[in-house]
Amino acid sequence: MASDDFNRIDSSILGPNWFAQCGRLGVRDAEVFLVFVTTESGHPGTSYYIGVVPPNDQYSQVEVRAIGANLYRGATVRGSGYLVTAPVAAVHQGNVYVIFWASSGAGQGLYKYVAGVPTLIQAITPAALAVGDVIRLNIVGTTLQCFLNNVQQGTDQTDASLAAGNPGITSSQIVAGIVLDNWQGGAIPSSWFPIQVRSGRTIPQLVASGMSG
Amino acid sequence: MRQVTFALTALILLAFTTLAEAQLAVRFYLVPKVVVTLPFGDVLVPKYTQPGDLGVGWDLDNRWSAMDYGLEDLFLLAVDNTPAEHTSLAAQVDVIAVPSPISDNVSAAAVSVIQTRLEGANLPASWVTTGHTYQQVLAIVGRVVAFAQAYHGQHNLPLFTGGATLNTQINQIPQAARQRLQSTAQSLNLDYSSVTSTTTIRQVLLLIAQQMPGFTLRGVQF
Repeated sequence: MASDDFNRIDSSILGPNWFAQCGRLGVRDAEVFLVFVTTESGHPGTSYYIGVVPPNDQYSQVEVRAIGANLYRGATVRGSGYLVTAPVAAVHQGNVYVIFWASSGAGQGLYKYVAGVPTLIQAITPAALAVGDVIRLNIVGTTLQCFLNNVQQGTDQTDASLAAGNPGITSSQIVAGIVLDNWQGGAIPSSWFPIQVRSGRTIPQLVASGMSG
Repeated sequence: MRQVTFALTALILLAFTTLAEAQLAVRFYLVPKVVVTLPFGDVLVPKYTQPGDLGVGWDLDNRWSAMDYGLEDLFLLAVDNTPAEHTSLAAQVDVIAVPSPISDNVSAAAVSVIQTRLEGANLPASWVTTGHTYQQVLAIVGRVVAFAQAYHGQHNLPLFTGGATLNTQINQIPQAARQRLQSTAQSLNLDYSSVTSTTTIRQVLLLIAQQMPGFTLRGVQF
């Protein structure tokens, strides 16, 4: 398990253990600060942790430090790519699973970004996001689970697009400001098992003999 | 008197709410993709899942989950909806609505309809008979969809390019495309050894679907 409380001097970047996938998250007042706002495209500031090599089954959780309508906060898993162009990548071009929540606003839910293209795969609106809430996203195999304060929100979601990557954080808002704090992620603790992972059901035998179509 | 009226109103509202919730059932559909603009950018979503999509008052809220068919223009959509919402959704010409309960066998009248509509969406379905349940049909569809997702994630390409169809043989697609299919299957630890040059894409997808792990959509295991 890796963690970061961001208790260090102000900086325009999160630090050497973080990879800025899109936009720019930095540190201010020992919290995560959204430095660069991609106002034109609206693409969120997303960074993932590269201080350790995580297993493919992983989680990411982070504490919300500021809320508002259409101010989306989230945890991410299996982030990979994209090589940042100096000084920042204004457009998301990487791969990552994201849970986006706000105090209110359209489009809250579980997303995947493949080559930077976002797809909403489950609409999930938590009761009411508040300062101090902890957002968590798990992935085991191809099963994603979203949590708010350790309570699952929505239902188990299957997606097979992204097989590997790193856990991280994301934030989107229309003005720069403090957004998140106290991140942790990595291998899913054994105490969280058994995670509900689909066992599958009997399916028709279609091509066992002669490749009939 | 005012208190009595308030209490009665509350009871009636509660009754309607309870009735509406009791009518909710998870139902499955195949729908196209659309792009919507959200505060953080343009996003692909299943068609008809956004407020107002089917008129004033239409709002599926957070009652849906979906699996996209990779880069093909299709979602497998599950919705906890009311019968009225189901009727509205099923009436759309670009929606394939799966009859419920999905534990029922495919009816004789539905076989050819399912085959035609699924194959029209590049999903192999010539195997469907009245001996299969709708859940078994969805189980194969979802596995093919999941494979397409992996293919998309690894190659950022759709399964069907250059005019390829379900009937296209492996030896009729470019070498690079053959390698992409094989490498994606192998990355998922699937046995690809029975695929030959004359195997059709339909047969490849069914071979793969039978080896893919199960999946869960909106709480239903397949």
